[in-house]
Amino acid sequence: MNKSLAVALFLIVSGATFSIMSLDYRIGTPDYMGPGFFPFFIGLIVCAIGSTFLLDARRDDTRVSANYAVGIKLLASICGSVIVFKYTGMLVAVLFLVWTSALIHPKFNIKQTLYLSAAVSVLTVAMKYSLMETMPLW
Amino acid sequence: MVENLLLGFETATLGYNLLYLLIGCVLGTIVGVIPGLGPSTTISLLLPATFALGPISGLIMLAGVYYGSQYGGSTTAILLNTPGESSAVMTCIDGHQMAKQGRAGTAIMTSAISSFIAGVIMVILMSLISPPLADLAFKFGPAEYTMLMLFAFIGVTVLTEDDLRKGLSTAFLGILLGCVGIDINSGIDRFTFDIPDLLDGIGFVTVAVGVIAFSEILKNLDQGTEGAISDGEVSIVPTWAELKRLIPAALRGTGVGGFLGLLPGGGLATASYAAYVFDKKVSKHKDEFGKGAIEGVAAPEAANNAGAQAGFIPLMSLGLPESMAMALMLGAMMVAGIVPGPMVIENHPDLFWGLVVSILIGNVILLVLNYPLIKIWVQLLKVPYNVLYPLILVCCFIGVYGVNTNINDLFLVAFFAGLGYIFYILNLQPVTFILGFILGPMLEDNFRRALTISQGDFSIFVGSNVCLIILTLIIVFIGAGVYNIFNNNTT
Repeated sequence: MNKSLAVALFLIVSGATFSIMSLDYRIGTPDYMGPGFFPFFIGLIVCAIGSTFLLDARRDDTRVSANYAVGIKLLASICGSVIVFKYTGMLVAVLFLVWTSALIHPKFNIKQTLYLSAAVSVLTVAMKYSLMETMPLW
Repeated sequence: MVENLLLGFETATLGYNLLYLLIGCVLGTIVGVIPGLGPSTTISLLLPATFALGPISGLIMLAGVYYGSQYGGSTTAILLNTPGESSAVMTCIDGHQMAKQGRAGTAIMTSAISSFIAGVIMVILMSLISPPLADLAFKFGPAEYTMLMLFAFIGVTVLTEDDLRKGLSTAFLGILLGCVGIDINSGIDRFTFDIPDLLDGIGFVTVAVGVIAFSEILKNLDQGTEGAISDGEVSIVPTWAELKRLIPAALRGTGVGGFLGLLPGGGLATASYAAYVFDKKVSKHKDEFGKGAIEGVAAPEAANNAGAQAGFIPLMSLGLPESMAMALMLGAMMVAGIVPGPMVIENHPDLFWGLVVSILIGNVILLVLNYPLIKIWVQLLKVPYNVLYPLILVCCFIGVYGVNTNINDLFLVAFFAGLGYIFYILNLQPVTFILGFILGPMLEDNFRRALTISQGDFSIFVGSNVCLIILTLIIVFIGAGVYNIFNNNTT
């Protein structure tokens, strides 16, 4: 898929989604706007701008490319840490985040990660007892 | 006026007031550096302490936290591309580029010097023209605010993007996400999917950390970044040639920030965006903007500090707070029995002038405090990237949770990190998205109020001289943006 087509689809889908969802609320008139008025028209504008990229797509030869595996792994690491946090507290969650995110890098180093784990543990405990007393540590 | 300033000096230089000022500045710098711990959180935590300190000492300390956080917020923006405050978003653009070029120390020092220049000028202005300037705020009604925000969107878009359409579309996406939560006019919740945590809307820190900080990490991993962000010698003091560029930019930023800071609800973010736009337009080094231009740091930093201090004028003389932090300071004054209004300067001269002079002393403290700290902060850049990014992730993870102590904010930050990654893949600009997100609710509110006042007549947006001036600027910028699109398509 070329980049202009991808941008067009992204904008049209995003704008249309908000405009369609806005129809659940009263739209109203300019002098007495309902909660749906503003997002409905902004969504339409986003769709309209997205449509102009469809014209560019006919002669655009730049392909959409990225290392998707890295992106998915890092997002999974963050989401996984949130789940770990929910059940075990912040200390285990940050250690989980450090190790799972560090593993993504091609130059992963166990010794450095161990030092880092010690540092973030101290940081987390310090935050808990200085600024965030309500944060569950474990 | 001299008598008043002497009274201010007498009040501000009392030993205990100096001590509280120092505490406020140090705390402010720290909370500015940590994403998620904004001045509002810290001021609300310190509020009970101010009752015991008395109104003058308490307000001096809270003001120190407020403008200290403006200094601190720029540090993480420059070093880690993570804005601690909404007003530091623009500093990320050129500040982080300077850090990558081994000029992180210079960038932070630029930020400190610019803030200092803005601070000193604003103190002089505050003591000279507080009452007439406060009246200026009344010239801005909902229509003028709407036009001002539209100008901010279009101006930033034209100046940060080659393609006007890309910048505007992400700004509008930001506005749409800013609609999430309870609609203040009707009380109906919008786009919340019956999730109670979304009723208050999505927090700025959640969006900024996700779209800018986390997506920066994703981008660097995608590009296979391995070494330190900058491992060469790190300069700190700007050279004479850099100073010659820095000082005029700081003065321009002070002018823009000082003016916009006067407008209640104008906000520091608007001030720094407008200052960046303005400086890029008038600078002799336009081509360097976005690639590490010193003006790109000096102008928005001076603007947000000038705006922070100018905000005290409507606060003290009219009782109009321009931000949550200022509203909390207003609360502190009222609890102490001081009713803000035009009579504050008459009835409590020691409070008003003491605060004005303490701001001047606070700026000196912050400049002195920042110099040794810069040497420590820039060491962060020498850490190999495979060690640095998990550390950034952890700081942001704890910071985002700390804002509302809500676990769902962490899921949201992952969502916004994904969105930021899509922006990166599609070459879309996250800065305009953030701008839309911050200003969106204000734009909607003012747009609706303006049309309600005019009974649906859109001519209200060209109905005053202020509107017409802003409209002219918008047309000029759109013209430049359209020219860019056609120019790019033909080359």
